[in-house]
Amino acid sequence: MRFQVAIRNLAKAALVLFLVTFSISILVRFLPGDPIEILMPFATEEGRAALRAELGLDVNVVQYYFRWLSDLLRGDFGVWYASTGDGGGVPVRSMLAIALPRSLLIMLYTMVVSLVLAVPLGIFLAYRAETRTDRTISNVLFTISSIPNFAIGLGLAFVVGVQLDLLPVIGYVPFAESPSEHFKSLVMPLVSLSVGLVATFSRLLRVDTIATLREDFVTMASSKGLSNSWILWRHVLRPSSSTLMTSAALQMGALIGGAVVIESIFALNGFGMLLASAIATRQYLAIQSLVALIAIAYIVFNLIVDVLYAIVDPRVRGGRG
Amino acid sequence: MKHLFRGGRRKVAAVMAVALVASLSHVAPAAAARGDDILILIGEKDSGWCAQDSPGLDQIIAKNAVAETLTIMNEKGKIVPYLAKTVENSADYKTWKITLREGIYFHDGEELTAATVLANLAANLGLNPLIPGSLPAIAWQDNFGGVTSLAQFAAKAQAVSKYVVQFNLPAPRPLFNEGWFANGRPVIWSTKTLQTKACGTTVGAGTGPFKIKSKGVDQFTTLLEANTNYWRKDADGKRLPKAATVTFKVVQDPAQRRNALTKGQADISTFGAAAGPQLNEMRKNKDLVIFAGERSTTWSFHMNTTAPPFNSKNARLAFSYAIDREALAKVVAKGNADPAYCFGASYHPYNLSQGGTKKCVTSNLAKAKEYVAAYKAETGKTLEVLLPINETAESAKANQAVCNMLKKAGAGCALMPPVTSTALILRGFALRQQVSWFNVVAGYSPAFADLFSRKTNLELSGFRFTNPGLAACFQTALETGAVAKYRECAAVLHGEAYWIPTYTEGGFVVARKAVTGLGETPLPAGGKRPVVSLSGFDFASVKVSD
Repeated sequence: MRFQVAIRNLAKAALVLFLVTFSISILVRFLPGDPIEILMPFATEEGRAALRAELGLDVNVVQYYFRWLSDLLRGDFGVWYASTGDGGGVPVRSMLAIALPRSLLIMLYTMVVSLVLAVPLGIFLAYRAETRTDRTISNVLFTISSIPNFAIGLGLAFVVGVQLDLLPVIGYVPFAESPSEHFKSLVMPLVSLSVGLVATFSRLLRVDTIATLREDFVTMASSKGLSNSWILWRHVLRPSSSTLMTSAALQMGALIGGAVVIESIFALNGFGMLLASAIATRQYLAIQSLVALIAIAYIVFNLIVDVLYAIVDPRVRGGRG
Repeated sequence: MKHLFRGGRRKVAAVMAVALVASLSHVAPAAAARGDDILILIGEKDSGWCAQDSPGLDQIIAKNAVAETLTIMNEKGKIVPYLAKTVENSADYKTWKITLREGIYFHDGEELTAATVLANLAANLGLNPLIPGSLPAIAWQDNFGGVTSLAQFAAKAQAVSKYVVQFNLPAPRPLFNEGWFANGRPVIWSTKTLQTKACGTTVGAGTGPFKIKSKGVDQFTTLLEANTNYWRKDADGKRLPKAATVTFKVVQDPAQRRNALTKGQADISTFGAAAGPQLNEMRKNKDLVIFAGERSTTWSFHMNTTAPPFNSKNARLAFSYAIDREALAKVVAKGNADPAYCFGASYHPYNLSQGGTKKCVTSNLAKAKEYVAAYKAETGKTLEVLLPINETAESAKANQAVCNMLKKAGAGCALMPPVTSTALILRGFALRQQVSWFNVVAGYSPAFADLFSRKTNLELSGFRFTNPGLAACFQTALETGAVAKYRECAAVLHGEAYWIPTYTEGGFVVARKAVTGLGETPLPAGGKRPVVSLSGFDFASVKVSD
């Protein structure tokens, strides 16, 4: 039975991946401007034809897609073309080796920080629902979540980085080079990305927790004389966290390619900047491969969340959810 | 106890996962190392340095640290020999002889010889099969009257001896020596570099004070290391460069470049006048030194006259009148640029201001509205403008200001998606944009501007196709070098609004006070390079004292 579920989930994931990547194959062709004009505007006709063939623009979109897919499955993410065309470019895989780990770390740290702060806050707000404290904090969170993260980033850089001189304002230090400098270099980007997420996550958890607190099993636990904190953490949090986990999974996927503004402000040179640059220079193969990675990330994170549902919520595990 | 153990195992697993991903992080230079390691912040990311590439100013700075030109501009704005020892010409400016300095070696060990220069010229002419047709090729082809084969090339460019090259041009070119500078673009690479398609992307051996350590894979960071065999010496005859490494890091936001300098996290950074607010703030900082270039570079819009809407004179004049030049200088540049009503400084041959007393164009919102209406009457369409931008924050900011001015005049305006400087420049040359906002009228000499105003395919306005008389006018000016002729042609540029001046600036380099030696290296022909110019700045003598 479990095997069948696993197979079904994998099939679903493969279908989603196919639909996303094939759609991208079509969509990149709608990007304004001929990539050949951008990459080699003064090339000879032969040169242009060669590059057109290398980019797969000489065949229909289906052929192009399966050629790319075949390369991808062999670990070839394509080439970032230079103005000399094929042979002068840089393998996208080499560029990913720099950008992807940074973005994965930023995503991981951001989620850890956001959840560590949002979960107790959400539970607390639910526990104090409809009190003045709840209303005040909820309004503050609502306000914070409406501030764009780049504004927070620039503000932090000026106040914390320049005025208080506490943290570096640009650059990324690898963990292997200096763990302390590594974390220092990421504090401001993480805060910029986490503030909005903390607000969102805690509000989501608050709503679900309030609903759970009205369940009979909570009344039962309370009548058994269990402490409030025990009830909240042991009995209420788990069944209240499904929306939070779904949201977190989606945010994790979004953070990999979507932190481009924060990466740019703090000169982190991550995956988001690479993708933005690929789009700006019409690097078709790179765009295709980078988007595929984001799609894979979404799928993987959502699969993880599916598994976590069962672990966290006994009703799901028992097929009663 | 069991629960504790299980919980602890999860924690350990989580920490290990973080450490695993963290350990996979590529080791790259980060914060500025002090002393012999210099960190320079720039706004433009790497998009290739080889003959066919057309980087903007920030990348030319980095490129010129690695590869050098045969001639160079000194601090007085004069073009003097550099890798060349002498540059001689015949009385009719058709025969040019360049004698190279001896004993200059590329980073890969090759000696600079006449053969190397010819290999570079062949690449510049588009005769190198590995390097596709390019922007420089068009310019050089014009000089040589069209060279399509190596046999033709051999008749027009020969190695007279190991260190002497002779060029036989079909028409007079009084400024041919300046073409070998062209604001730092036609650098000389080793022969081996020109034999790989990776030329200028990830590899490149020049003769410069620094050699490439890593480049291209991380588009936002270029790491250079000292060339211990560098040919120039400092004023005391000591070996150069003084720094061990130079890292160029791309930080697109000028506010963050300012922050990093202020904090001492970076040593040097470049700024354009559009970063006016940041420049003014940094002037108050005693720990920073601002070097301002002479305000002689005019940023002008070059209108594509081959296609709508700017094939209409009404549209061009509407655009010209709509530009509030005072506002651009005051609001965008915050006083770090001058409004430009003519091209270049008063001493430039294209400048018609008669010593700064006359305006060649004016800003007038009422007239702009009239011409917007005239365009609608002429074409039945509203004037809709699309402005191209590069990836820097300054570009977006300045173009948005122009867009707002056009909207005030009743035109529609939007920014195109950002692209690299190279893509923007090349797309402009291919006449695939409505306009290009470029800085080709600069300094003292008309040589660089000439590339864009005569029959070369490089003229961005496309007026070669729509006004061949003007292209011929500039051709005559070029062949005679007569200032009066240049001014006659420039008057047509203004009258037809083919090029529309906006503001004039000099560029800025900001350094921490601890940085010494900026622009201090003597040139072999005497004098020094300007600290700030269109080819960047000389940092062979730069050192950080803390």
